[in-house]
Amino acid sequence: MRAIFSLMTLVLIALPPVAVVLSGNALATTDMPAQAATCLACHSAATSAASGAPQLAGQQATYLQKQLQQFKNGQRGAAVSDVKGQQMAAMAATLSADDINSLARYFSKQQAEVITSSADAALLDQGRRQYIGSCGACHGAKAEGNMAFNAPALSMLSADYITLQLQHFKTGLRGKDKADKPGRQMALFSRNLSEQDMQAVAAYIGAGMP
Amino acid sequence: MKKTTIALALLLPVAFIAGQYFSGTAQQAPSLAADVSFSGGAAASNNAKKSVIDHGEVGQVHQVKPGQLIMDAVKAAQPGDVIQVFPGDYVETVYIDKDNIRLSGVIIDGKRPRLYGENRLNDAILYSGNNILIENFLITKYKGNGIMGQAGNNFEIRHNIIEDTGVYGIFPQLGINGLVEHNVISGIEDAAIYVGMSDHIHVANNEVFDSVAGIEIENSRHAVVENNFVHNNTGGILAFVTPGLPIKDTVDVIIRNNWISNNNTANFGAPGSMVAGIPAGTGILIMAADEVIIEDNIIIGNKTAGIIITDHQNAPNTTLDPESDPTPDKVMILNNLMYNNGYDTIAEAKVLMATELKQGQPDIIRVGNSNNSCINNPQQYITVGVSKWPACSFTNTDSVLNYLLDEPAAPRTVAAEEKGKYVYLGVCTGCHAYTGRLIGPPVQVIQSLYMDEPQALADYILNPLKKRDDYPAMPKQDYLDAETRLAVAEYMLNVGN
Repeated sequence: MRAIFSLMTLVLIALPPVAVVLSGNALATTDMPAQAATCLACHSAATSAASGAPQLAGQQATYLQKQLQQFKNGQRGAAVSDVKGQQMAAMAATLSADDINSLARYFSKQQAEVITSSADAALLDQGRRQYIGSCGACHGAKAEGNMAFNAPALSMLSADYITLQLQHFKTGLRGKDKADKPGRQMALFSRNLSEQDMQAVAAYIGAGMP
Repeated sequence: MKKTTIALALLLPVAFIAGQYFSGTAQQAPSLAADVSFSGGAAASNNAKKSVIDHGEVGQVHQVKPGQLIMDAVKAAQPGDVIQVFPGDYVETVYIDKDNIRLSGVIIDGKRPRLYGENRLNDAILYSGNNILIENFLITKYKGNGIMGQAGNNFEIRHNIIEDTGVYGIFPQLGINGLVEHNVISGIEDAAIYVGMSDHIHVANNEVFDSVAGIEIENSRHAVVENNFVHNNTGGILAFVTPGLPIKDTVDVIIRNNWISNNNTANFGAPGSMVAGIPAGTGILIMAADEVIIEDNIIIGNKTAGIIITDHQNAPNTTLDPESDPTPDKVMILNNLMYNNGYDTIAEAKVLMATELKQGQPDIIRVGNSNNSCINNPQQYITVGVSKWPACSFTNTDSVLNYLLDEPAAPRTVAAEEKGKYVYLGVCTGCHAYTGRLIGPPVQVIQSLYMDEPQALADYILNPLKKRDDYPAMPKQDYLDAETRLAVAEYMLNVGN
């Protein structure tokens, strides 16, 4: 972490004009939808660990849009066992279709902050093999996502969030709706994963794919 | 000496003129007469030309000349026929889906027929028939395979030169009883010679170089790899169990009398693919294969190590397959000449050596488990991980001439309802393991993506679209008919590990 900070300092010193543009972008104000601040209360890099909410910055707009719609119409976050999902569904209920579009577009243009967690080396090694062997085929070599498969970026997500979502896919909380093809695809794949596999691959992505 | 030179100089113009004169006549193809042996020797030789095909009566001879298509001759041919291809360029993919065909290049004045892929075509020669012979071609600039066998038994692939042809140079997949001899192969992104899921195979007298893997015996049984010149690859000779393939083991491989030198080429395999994990500078790599004998090879100048023996857990870029034993058992290292290996080895090897309080340049590295392995005269090598191996109970493999069958294997006949299965085994699994990344994405991922839409998958393999930046493009499988494409798609979406 310290290394990242000192790097940032260096960048600021070396390239002040660019740095200004970058920071302006990160805090982007002019085109920021009104509700975005509410979202960021949980979904910002600083709060996501505590809230368990995923970072949204840098995620594909189509993916965000679809998830918000699903939260709103009850396809996601309706189950009693899905506590976090229920919280999100309540928030999504307040959004109009226009809100959803502009929020999705806005967050997709922001840059995620990389937050890495540490994990046991053996677990990371298992996760790396798992990721390269399977996940990367759709989610990309750097977990940057691949629109050709409607596969979202994973690189900005925490290990806990990824584990939980994999469990949701496997147990049928996500990816059940007939019309939700990408969700069904992921649900089908998640059934190949053991609990240990999920922990490993989540740890690997959460650790910044070392 | 001087007189001879002058005499030759005098003869040359005559020969030239004569050549001019005779070249006006039709180019002659070689006769198809039987081989005759030199009668002066006293004892029978080990060098007897091996053959695994009973060609029987020679059928019709089809001649193909530049401007014509080899494929037209294949279509016209009946089992037993010979197709002679004359020197010149042929820009096409040849697909042989009938039995007993001899596809024979005709070499005239050193010129052989060239199959030229223009960096555009995927495969030069594919065969799914039994008893196929392919010889005397020059194959270059294809993107996928030079010569690929798809579940054909009894094959002979010899005297071909293959340069810069994509993923696999010569790739018999799921074949029983085959010979790969006297080929020169270079510039291949994966294996120059890749024996996949096959039995009773003989790979001899080939030169393989400038490729990621020289010769790879993968999920195959009863193979002899001998007298090959294997140099300047990333890894020289590999005996592998690749996890996630339908055949789960590699057993009974003899690697002998090969010249394995300077396999230090930087790895240029597709990142993330299994071969991309091979450290540059590996002479022989045994991964999870059982009963591998390494004898009388000259192994020199491989910078990481002369021989690496590893289980799946310690091999990079592999995932475990619960159906495969990940441990290389009964590895038998007899006498070999090993010199100047391991001079720029990897950090992992140094760490292993440190645990044995050793220093220097490792000839042999064993990581992970290995049961019932043995080594003769280990004192002559610098080793790590084999100091507890006992001496082997024998010193040579002279009793094994080869592992080819005495009689040709029964031709594989595929019932209509099994067509999907055999195309899956013979074609798809060449690049797609069930789990893990071989060349393309794993079958598990494909099953998730296509779910209950086999037609969409069948359409995709006819005309694939590149969707992944970090994977090579999938070659068109347009030589398969629509019915077969659907059959294999249905099979693939339902198959297990």
